[in-house]
Amino acid sequence: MIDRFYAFSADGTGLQITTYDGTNTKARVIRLDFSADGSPASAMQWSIFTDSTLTAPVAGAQNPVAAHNDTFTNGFNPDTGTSVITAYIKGTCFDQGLTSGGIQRTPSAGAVGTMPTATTGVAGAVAVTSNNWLNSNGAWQHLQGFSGGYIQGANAPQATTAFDWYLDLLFFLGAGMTNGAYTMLLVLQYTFS
Amino acid sequence: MQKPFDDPTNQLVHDLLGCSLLQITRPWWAVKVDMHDGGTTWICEAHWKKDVYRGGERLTDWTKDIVANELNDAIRELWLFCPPGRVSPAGNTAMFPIIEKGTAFQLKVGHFFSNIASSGYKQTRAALIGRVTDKGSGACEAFIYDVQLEVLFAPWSTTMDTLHGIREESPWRPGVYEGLGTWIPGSIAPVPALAHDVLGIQIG
Repeated sequence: MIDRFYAFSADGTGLQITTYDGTNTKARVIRLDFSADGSPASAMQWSIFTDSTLTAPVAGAQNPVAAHNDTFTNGFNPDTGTSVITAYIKGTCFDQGLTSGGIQRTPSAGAVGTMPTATTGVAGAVAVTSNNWLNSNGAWQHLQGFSGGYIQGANAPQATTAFDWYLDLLFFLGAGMTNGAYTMLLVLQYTFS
Repeated sequence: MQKPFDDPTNQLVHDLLGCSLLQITRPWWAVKVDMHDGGTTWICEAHWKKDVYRGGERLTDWTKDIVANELNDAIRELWLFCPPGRVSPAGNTAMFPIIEKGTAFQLKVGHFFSNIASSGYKQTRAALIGRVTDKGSGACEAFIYDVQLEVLFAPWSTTMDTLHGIREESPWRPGVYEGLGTWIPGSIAPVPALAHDVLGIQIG
């Protein structure tokens, strides 16, 4: 388990994100801020990719960095599962941020549901839970592109309304990982008119 | 004075965009709508409008200008003008004649990228025009211009081979009720059920 999270603005210039400790006890670590300019046309979806080519992760494959895949999103059997080889990255979110009726969903500080394991997650999409963390506070989802594993809202947030969508991430480590330096992108897909 | 183009499509493009397809760098939608006096007029996304809500000017917006003014029923033609690309160096146009009222829709697919520890950036991945073909099931067909691939996918629908009773399955599952599916599985998440009120779809 990766228990520390740093943000670097330059080589040697880093800041520890103290709200991340590799556990499920920090509810307000990451959030997406939306302005009031847009008219969403459907539910939003988010996951993790290696880069902006949006090359689909290959479950279980441990590739070199240059292949537009990475060791984290690919996962490895048996580290992250066997029948479903999940990603090493687990994610959760609080509802969909803003309901279709315009209600902002903001979590309380503190615990974020049950603690996931390295094999937590199901294939495909997991829908958000109304006014709660994913799966009614019961389980996270693995993040493996837009086919292996991702999270999806319930419906389109209310149009032309600013809101925040609270997320949380946990990174696991495993013996099957390929050594290297990796960068990954959180990718949000949305539709608008 | 500019002489009329021999080709009516080229003339339409020039009339609405003020230039040829070779000179545009992004896709634009346009609709031909009926007017109360029996004539028709054009509404194009590339046209600037005064924003009385926020002040200043903005581009024509589907929700704010078509849906808000209840013009969906008046749409007779729905167009998409696509810029030139690697496989279509002259650009492309796509058009749906709208036979049934309230079946036309337009939307864009966008992506926001973030490396988590800092601010991110967004980009429009695709522009799509569509029409509902079966009001009961919500089945539809669409033209999709993929901005990253510079390709027009034309048109996508679930087809039925009525002679043999075989339905040809496709990752594109056109349906405004249950979701549209995806045209690039794994890279583009299946588009979920559409918000009919935002897009002006009136089939229920």
